[in-house]
Amino acid sequence: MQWLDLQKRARYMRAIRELFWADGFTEVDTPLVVARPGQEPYLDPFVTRVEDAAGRPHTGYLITSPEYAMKKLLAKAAIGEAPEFEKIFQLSHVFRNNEDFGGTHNPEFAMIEWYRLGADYHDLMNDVEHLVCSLAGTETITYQGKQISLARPWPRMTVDEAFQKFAGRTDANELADADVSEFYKIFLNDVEPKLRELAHPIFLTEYPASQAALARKKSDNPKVAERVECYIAGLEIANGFSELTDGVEQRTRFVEEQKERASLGKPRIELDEEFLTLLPLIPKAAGISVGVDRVIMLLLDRANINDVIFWPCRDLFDQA
Amino acid sequence: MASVTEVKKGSVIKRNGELFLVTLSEHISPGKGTPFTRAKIKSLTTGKVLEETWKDNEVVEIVEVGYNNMQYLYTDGTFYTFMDNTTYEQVQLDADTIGDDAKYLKDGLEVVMCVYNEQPVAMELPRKISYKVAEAPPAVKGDSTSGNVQKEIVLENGLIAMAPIFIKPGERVIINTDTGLYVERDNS
Repeated sequence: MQWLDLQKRARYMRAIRELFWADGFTEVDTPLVVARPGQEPYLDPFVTRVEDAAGRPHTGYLITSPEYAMKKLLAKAAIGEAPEFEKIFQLSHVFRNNEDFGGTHNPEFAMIEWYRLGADYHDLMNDVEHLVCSLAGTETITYQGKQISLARPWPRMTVDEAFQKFAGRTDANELADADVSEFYKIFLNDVEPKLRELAHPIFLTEYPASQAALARKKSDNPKVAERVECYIAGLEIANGFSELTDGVEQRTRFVEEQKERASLGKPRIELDEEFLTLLPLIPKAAGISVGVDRVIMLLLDRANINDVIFWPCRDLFDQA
Repeated sequence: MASVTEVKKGSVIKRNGELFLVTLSEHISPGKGTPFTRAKIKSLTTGKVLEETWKDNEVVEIVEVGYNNMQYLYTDGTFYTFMDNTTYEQVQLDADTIGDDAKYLKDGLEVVMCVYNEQPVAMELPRKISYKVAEAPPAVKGDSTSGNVQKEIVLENGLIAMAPIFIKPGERVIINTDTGLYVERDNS
């Protein structure tokens, strides 16, 4: 924590809110404590006990992302019940247990997540450029001694192209199905280090379909999903997609994830039936989340997330 | 053998007879498939640093090491001498092993020494250290109007840091050794 940096952080938070309101988005504040959190097998939600006044207990979870609730609102907008929710954003903290204390992670972190009807992942890339460039206010930033040009448009590359270019592999999509761990090992060892060296941000697009549980498959290439991630100086700052709105397929993917959680010995999380009922009411939509703390790290040229957040877990729980 | 998930910063691992100190360990969980541990390891024989990515189901040999509290005494430039707080025995670490952390050392600083086979192999700094400010240029009127001005200050041991303009010589400041950054004025 640095008090001067935290003052700047406060200004960035305000700027983000004002930017989204100015762009016609409505701010929503959906619950942080929920009964049905995300199913992602490798994310561990914080578990808590919610009791009513009579002491009747319920299992509650802190959200790993406001995704389900926000998509429910999109559905309500699509059917005309809440038209102002066709463009929504939420700037809030999200929680993921079993993460590193520091570096690029903190178990509690700030996320700006936004959705809108009628959009796809191309729109999201333009949004991210607009957001980061507006906050930076300059064409070039310096991060850890390296100049990074924010000149738009930022380069875009499919995962398949990135594997070819950086790892000499032509089988990214097949590999993700055959041996997902090997896929990620190559990604982490060969692709990601190259992304760190780039003198500009980059969007990686079109992930293997198996690596995007809530994304729509690309119509002309069902092997890949319309998912996009953004990297700046090697920092992963955004993850979004053209939303899957097929309730049947979504249920199938959730059940697969439930099985995977079970095989890892993790507690079962029940499906959010309201979400599955509302999802098919969305005709077409896209949404993305940006890790706000990491963007602030970039803008303030700080190497450790703990320098830009209020009382990181490292300070709260790890005094040694 | 132990799971790579048990490897922490400061662990010592053994591979093909060679000892490595783990200087950084980062947990990575991609959406699917096994999570990974990414580590920077430094050979305790050659000083060479390797960056490794392990699947979380891989195993490594973690060597049992001791951690003793010691006090920094002095350096001749090549070796750094410390005193064991319990035995009063003096031990030395060479400059290569200490690396960049040397800049944080000051007389009497308490550190944790990682000891293997009765030999010190690595030093761990406290995460936050309080230093007396030796030099700090006076604040210039008008500096604060831009809201975020910092200045360079020199600490009692020669360490240079960026600090807010209100810091004066003789005050104490806290530096975070994870990041090298000024944290706050030490009012204790």
